[in-house]
Amino acid sequence: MNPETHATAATSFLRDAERTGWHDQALWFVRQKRDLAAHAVPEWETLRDLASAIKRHTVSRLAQYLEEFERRAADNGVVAHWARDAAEHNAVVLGILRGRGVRRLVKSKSMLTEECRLNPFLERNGVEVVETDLGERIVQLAGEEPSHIVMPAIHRKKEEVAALFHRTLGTREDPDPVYLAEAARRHLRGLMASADAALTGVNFAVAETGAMVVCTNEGNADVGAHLAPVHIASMGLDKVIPRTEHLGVFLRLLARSATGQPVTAYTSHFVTPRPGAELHVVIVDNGRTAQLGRPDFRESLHCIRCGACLNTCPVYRRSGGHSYGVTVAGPIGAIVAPGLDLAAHASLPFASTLCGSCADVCPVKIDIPGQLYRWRQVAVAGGQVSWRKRLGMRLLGATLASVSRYERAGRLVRLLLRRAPGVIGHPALDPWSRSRELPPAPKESFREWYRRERGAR
Amino acid sequence: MNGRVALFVPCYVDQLYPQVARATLELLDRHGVGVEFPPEQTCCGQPMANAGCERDALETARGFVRTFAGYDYVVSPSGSCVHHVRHHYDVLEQTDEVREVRARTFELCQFLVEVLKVEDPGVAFPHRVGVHVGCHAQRGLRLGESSELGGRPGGVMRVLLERVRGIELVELDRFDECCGFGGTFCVTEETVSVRMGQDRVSDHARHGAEVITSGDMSCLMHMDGIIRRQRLPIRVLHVAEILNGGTV
Amino acid sequence: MSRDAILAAVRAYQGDERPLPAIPAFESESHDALLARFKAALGQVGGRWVERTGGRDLAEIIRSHYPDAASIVSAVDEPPSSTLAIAADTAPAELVRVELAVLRGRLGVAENAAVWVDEAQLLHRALPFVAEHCVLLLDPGDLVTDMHAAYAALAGRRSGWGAFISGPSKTADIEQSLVIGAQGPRTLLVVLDEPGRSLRTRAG
Repeated sequence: MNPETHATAATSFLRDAERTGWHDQALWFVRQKRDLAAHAVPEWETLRDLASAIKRHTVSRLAQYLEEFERRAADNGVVAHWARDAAEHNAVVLGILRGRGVRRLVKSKSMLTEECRLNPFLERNGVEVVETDLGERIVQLAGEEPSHIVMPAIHRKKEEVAALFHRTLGTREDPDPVYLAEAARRHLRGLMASADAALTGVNFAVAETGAMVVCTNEGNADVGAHLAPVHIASMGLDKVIPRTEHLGVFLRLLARSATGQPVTAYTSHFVTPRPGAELHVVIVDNGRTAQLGRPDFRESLHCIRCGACLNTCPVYRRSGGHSYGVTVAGPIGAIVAPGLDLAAHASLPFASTLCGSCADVCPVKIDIPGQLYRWRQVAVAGGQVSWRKRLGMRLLGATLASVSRYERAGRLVRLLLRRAPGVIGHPALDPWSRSRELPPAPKESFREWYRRERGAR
Repeated sequence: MNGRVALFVPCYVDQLYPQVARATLELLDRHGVGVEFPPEQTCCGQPMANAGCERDALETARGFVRTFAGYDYVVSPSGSCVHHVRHHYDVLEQTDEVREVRARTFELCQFLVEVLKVEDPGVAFPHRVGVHVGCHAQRGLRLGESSELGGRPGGVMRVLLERVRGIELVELDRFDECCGFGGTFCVTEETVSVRMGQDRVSDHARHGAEVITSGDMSCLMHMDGIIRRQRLPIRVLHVAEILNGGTV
Repeated sequence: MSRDAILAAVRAYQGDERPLPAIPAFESESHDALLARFKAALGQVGGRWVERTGGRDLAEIIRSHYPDAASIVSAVDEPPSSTLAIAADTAPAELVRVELAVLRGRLGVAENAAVWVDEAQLLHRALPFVAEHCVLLLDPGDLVTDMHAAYAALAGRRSGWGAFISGPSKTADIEQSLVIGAQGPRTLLVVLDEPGRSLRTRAG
């Protein structure tokens, strides 16, 4: 257990005050674009209500929809595989690749495969993995993890990308985003044209038809999938939706929430394999059924991975995705990760002020603050907070439950603040005082004044 | 007005900012409310509950219900305490008494505007004032429309402040971003908390605020700590103090 | 078996059934308003449009916008004709040489400038993506107001693959600077046909 995990990492991040401001402003800008796009749709709140209800219904009949999806996909010539956990997912993917002698795999963005740590596994087993989304390729070349589920390299400045490309691709060290994107285009198109297989994520899997919908701005998922002889689509089992008509609701919400665009450049519907090619889908659990079994937290499965909650979160913006120590960071990460491993991620529900901004931007209206609050209770009940904190809260609870104890404690606190500010307020000992002055210490509390002036009791 | 009204003073206001409670009492008196202060009150239980220790807050919460049972209205100069009672007292067994107390607990500005129907506070405050709307009041209790939902600065607190004579409400870049107090968060995630507070204060300072006001003293306590450490020429005042005819 | 274990867990945990909502119809608009909105949205997403009026040649329109395009693949049954022969079994190395793809769009969505293209209108699924530039021919009579209307209009249309294409490819992955032209086409031109002009593609 490491309850300081997020706080410690955030402190490191914040050491560079100027960079923190840059990161914060970059994400706030995306939040503002989201606002403009959302507020331009008169029926926006109706769409959110619909999306929330559709997901709630789907999750309540998930087995039926998964089976229907699998049947239709099979009818379409798609080969379905099921994986209980990350290891199984990776083994299934490797099995498909090995069976066809694949040396190079091109990948479009898939947070699920990040969750499963697919890339290092494949590399260890002799498969070259090429990320084709520009942000993912940047972090891949830099040997790091994405810090945001939609904008993987949002934590990187253009000068850093220029240096990275210079080192790895042999480009000149020019921070012009147009030059760098062009360099990436040439580099990636060649690789995509010579790949032996392509792997994509799935944004939505339609039970009614067996279709798998993949949304990108770059077109990389489609270039890769339509050129390779084998296309593997990896999806979490929470990606299924009942019918094609429901796509209308989710697609109107997704890109507006994610980046402020009315829709992504490409919304690709894969139904059958290309003539002469193969199409596989890997349906993955990896903790999702466990979350389904937690009525208080089941709603987190409604997430459509838009990233709006990350962009709006004042804590995420000032601490960065890496400080969460999980694949999917930010507010949604803080309610999903404790379900995967409470001991490892107990600090995440506390990395929040419960301000509620995330809930207001969530396209599927997940009550994130409500779940953060509940996870805190679970973390404490599960012994995942320090004994010091437990003891302190128990004492505080006992003190506040009795008027006389409360009044005595209040007088003591004010006395200490007045007489010995150096004791309470030492910057090295007291976290409050590092950057803040202590509150004042009046001689009389309100109730003491009231008793005296108004003669009560 | 009809009905018995009780004043609930948040624990830290009682101990550290008694002038805010006094201003609330006097303000209600002036608007014709014979408000009572039941002396058995202590706290709403939020500090423990928000830290994940709602079991440790149960006795305190039950005490709150016992203290305020029988009143027609419970008014408090704190959006976060009122939000806690309204939304998190579902952990208690929902007796009639619990349900009534929860439904009858009001944040001060909400009470003034929606129950007392106050339109003109009848005071002057000729200063440039930045309005900080606390998150529990804004998004928790929906006392103003959040920016995420297309809202502009508004809500019950602003409605009252706009009528104060001579006041100039400054425009902010991010009118409802969180200040970073967040309860125990302010010390457990100290660096993030401070950065958030500094950014809030900068927003007000950049736009020429002489005074920052809020319906939540916890937010102001945190921002004031930063203001005084940075020696900025800004005062903090709870909205009750302004509406009660206070001066800087 | 993993499948059975997973489904058993899902069945055990999924809880009581919650109702599925009906999707209402949202406000639609006149044809002129649809067209105006579509054009505005297309500009917003980095695409361009041109109206084909007065019996203007498609070949001439394309020449004026893409004077240097040497390799053209057209899946539309009128000039310009393809300079490269593309079929379902064309090798990737050939496909990435296409400079300009000319395709027919089945419908257009006013709220976001998305144009539906599917297998029935294509020689190869990769064509809308590998070409350096893309031209979509669209009948303005096939415009709908929003995605709900689009899916309703496409209902019953069976296709092994299809996509909504909204503008050219793009990325903002480098410090949030928008760059038009990522891995897909660098430009997208929508040629708005004369209303009612019926054309059939080679592929049907």
